[in-house]
Amino acid sequence: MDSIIKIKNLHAELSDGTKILNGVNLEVKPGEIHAIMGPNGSGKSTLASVLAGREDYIVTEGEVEYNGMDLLDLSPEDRAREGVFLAFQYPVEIPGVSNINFLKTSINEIRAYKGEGPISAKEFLGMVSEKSKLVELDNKLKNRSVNEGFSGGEKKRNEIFQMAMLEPKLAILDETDSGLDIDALRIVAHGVNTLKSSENASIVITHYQRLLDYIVPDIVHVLWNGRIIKSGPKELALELEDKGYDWLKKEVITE
Amino acid sequence: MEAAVSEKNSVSVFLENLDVSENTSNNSYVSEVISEAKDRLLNSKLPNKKQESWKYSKIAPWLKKKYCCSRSNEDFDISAYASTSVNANTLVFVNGYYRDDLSILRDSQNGVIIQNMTEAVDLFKDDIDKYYNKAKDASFFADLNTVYHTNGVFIKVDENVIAETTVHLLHIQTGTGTIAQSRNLVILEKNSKLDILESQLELNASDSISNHLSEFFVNENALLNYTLIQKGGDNAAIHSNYFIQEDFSKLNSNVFSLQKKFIRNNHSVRTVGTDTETRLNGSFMPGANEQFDNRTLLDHRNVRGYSEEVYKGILFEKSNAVFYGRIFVDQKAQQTNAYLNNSNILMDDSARMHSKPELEIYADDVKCSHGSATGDFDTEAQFYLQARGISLDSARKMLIHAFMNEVSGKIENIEIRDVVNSYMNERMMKLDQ
Ligand SMILES: Nc1ncnc2c1ncn2[C@@H]1O[C@H](COP(=O)(O)OP(=O)(O)O)[C@@H](O)[C@H]1O
Ligand SMILES: [Mg+2]
Repeated sequence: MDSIIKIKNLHAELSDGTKILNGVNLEVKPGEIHAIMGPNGSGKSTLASVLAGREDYIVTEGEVEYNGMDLLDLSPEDRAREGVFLAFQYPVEIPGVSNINFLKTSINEIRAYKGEGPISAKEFLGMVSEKSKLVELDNKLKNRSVNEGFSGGEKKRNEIFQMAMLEPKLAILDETDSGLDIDALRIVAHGVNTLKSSENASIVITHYQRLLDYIVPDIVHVLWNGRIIKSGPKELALELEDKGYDWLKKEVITE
Repeated sequence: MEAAVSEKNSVSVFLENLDVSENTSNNSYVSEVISEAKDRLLNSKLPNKKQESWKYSKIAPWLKKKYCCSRSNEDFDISAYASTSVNANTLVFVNGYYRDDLSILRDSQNGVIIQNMTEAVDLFKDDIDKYYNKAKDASFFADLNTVYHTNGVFIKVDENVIAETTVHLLHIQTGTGTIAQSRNLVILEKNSKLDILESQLELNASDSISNHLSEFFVNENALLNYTLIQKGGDNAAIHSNYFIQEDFSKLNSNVFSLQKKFIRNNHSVRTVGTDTETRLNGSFMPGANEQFDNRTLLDHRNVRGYSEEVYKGILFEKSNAVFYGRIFVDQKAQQTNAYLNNSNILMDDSARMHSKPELEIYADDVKCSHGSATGDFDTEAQFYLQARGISLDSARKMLIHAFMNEVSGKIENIEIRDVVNSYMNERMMKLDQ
């Protein structure tokens, strides 16, 4: 089966030369959920950002094949239009831009890219009400400025709401679980599970095992020092919960 | 001593190069005002960067040019100017001259007097004697306007009258090396209300300057909504507004400086009455090699005044802007509530912003705050929008709009707000090319 994304030996650094990703390899196939775990500072968000096209990072080596395309060759907006979705670890507040106008612009630009006309008001509103129910997003948040004054949990739900609206092919969730209470966690997981299909795939970045009780991954990877140092079945997450990361780091160093 | 002589000469040189006739008046008060202003002018210095008030704005090159006051009889299609889409009584001034033939007086209303200033001096002698020149200060450009203005408009809304139609002052400047100076007087009597739109636009003018001046008297419990749009080509605009507010009066002033080579706005409000409400807002968007300078003064003279001032700037590549906002609270002005904020976004490293909010408070029971922030464009927000499939170009526009809408959103009149937004869009489109 063809993969959705195939990351080969990906190296990335900051403009000052600080190396953050040191040869990441990862292949995700349709229908799969991959979890990426790893201690703080190991490069998880950087990996997500590089895939989404953030310009702060320079790719110095390696390649990323997405749906048969060279992903790194696409602008951030074209990646999104091709179905890549990043749920931000820290969603940005945008005063003065209403959540709903933002989403409408987003959907229409994606449609225009595919050669489709703008969405009708009726269809759009129907989608909004359906998808916001899915993540139990408070009605009044939809008309507020994007993420402005939202609580941490509301911001994360808003990310999943956007994901539900855009129906991506590849969703990358960057610590969508952190800062969530158990109810919110369930809601977010429900959103992700409902959207799962045999056509799309997700990469779930987390450093707690508990999210993986709700979103069951096919494979768990451990990222450390900008490299995937171990991959295994979902039980690996439990092992990490028990033993921490140090035993793995030692394994790598002694290698 | 010698330096003083040469500075003084520079004023005479400027005036010699000014091909405009001095004003005279058969009203003895006005005539005295003119001769006092003339004396002051001759004894003053040309504005220069050694003066605190002209430190950051390079006015000097504009004062070295020759200007003439050219009356034009050209026929324009004024509907080509978007601001005329607002339902209004539109008074058109071309190079500072009132053009009866171009003006559109849609609705006349009892108690709303709109009169050519030249005629008003005779017809409304009592008002002229009471109000004329009573609000303005004695700065160089104000005096220059007093001595050399062409004409302007006299507007008076009688007691208890709500003016139903917006009054639109449309200034058009044409020609090379022209100077346009209108002089306006606006009086809102007790319990009256008026909306004014002033738009300063251009038609093929170059190397030209304008120096419009208006005085506004907002009497007891009256409400004045004022909007200014400044947009044009390679020319300079000095624009002065002086507002006086009486008891329980309200003033909303919204100023949009969108395009011109050089803009200097001197806008000041003196609240002589109690319980006044004042909102002064502004947006400025200078582009390459443009310099916009907004200078405001909120002079609280009486008790329980409330004022709110928000000026926002977006500075594009190689642009320059100045914001100087001063709040003065007299010792008599107890329980004043004054808030001032200036925030700016620099779109490029080559843009320069000088921001100086200033509080001067002599009363002890007041609530005042002021703030100023200048930062780079929010590329985090830009990336967030891009990551949702929105193009770089639309993302930037959305964010600039969002920032600027805070000010245009304060305009109550929807037609005027729409016109302002469309001028802002047009401005952005040009800048983004
Ligand atoms: N834009 C950046 N500027 C400076 N340092 C960065 C930047 N992005 C990432 N880093 C550094 O790179 C390392 C990895 O960061 P990150 O990818 O956020 O880790 P994780 O998400 O796994 O916690 C950290 O040491 C972090 O400080
Ligand atoms: Mg992270």
